[in-house]
Amino acid sequence: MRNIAGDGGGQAYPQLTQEAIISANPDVIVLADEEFGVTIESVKQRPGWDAIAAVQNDRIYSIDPDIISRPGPRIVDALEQLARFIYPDRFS
Amino acid sequence: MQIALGPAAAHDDAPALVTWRTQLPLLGAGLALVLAVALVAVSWGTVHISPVTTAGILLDHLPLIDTGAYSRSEDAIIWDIRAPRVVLAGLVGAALALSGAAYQAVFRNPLAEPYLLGVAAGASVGATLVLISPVAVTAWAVSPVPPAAFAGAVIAVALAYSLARVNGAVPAASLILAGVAISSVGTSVVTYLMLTFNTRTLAILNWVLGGFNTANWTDVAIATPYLVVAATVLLPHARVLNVMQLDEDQARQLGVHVERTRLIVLATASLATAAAVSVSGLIGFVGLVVPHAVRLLFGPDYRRLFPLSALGGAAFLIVADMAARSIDPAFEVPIGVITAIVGAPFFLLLLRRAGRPAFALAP
Repeated sequence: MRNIAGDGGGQAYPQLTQEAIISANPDVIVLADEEFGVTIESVKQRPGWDAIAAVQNDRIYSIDPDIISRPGPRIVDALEQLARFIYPDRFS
Repeated sequence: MQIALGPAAAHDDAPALVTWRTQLPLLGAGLALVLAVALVAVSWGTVHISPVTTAGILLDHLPLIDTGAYSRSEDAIIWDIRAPRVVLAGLVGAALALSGAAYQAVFRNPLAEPYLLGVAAGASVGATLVLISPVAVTAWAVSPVPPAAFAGAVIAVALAYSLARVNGAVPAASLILAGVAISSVGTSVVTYLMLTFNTRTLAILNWVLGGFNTANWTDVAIATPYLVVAATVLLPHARVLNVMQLDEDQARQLGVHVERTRLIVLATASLATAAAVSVSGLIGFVGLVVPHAVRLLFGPDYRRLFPLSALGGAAFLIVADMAARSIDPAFEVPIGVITAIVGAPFFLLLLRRAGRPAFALAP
């Protein structure tokens, strides 16, 4: 499993174009911005995003931004959450 | 002393005859240019898709044609992301430039532009009110921002028009001043709200700066009818507007119903602008400068100026949007920045080289 924004293009907070995301075709999408109105449903309904594997296989997840966006001890909880999203079979 | 008599004498210095038929080749060339630019724009983007594949995907969406040979994500990128974006940029550019030409014709003023009567400020207030509301914009099935912006724009222009009305007549100067005053009020309200609701500042600023980042076919469907109506109403008015470039009193003596023409043309142009702004945000410069560029190149006759402004505006905004999304693949440059930085030097060059005054009133 590889992060499609992993190299970040040299930026701390990379912004990808929609076409770059569709072309990279991620298997899993994790949202940390549900508080700002970007929901699993709204992502599914974006035009053109139905070509993405994560959308087709219902593998869009939402994570609490407080545990994943803040450098602190809770980041380990976020790591476990991500692992559950990405490798669900290892936790069954 | 010579008196020009007969057709031979009149022919020497008469301006070239402009009818719908004589300008068909020019309009055809303009239309071909817009289509060519649009095709290049659709095959242009951060993800490389060859022009051949692009053409195949576009043709495949026509009925009865099946070209096959492309992946599902290529289809999504071309048809769902890029095509609506390019079409919308073209529609908005055409609407803004055509409305700009109409505003300049009605006010007989080179500084007139489609935002003069408060369309931009009204639309910003409408959009901002939705963006600061406690219900998230994405919670709706269809975004409520375009309708709110449209309503704000129409209310602002209607307000300017009714405030400028004196004894049943609407003097042009009063109308401009009322529009400027309403624009100031709108801008202040937006600035205040932007600073008060500071968690939404970025969303508001993004909208105000304008662009086609989130363009989709719904936006195209919203904007198209208004542009079609604007073109159908404005183009036949070109002849009367030519006459109105004379003094208002002279136009009246020649049988032009000045008040009524002004109301119809302004209302139509404002509706088209409101629709354009509601789906794209505030994109400056196009409505002001494209008509002037066309005027410098092809003369001030509105029968030619209207259709060529629309085509020129479409081509210009499609190219500007191409630049906006490709200068830096990780960050989209606001399109208003492009239209001004690229457009202004080009326009100044035209202005210096044209060899005729930028705003001659009579054709």
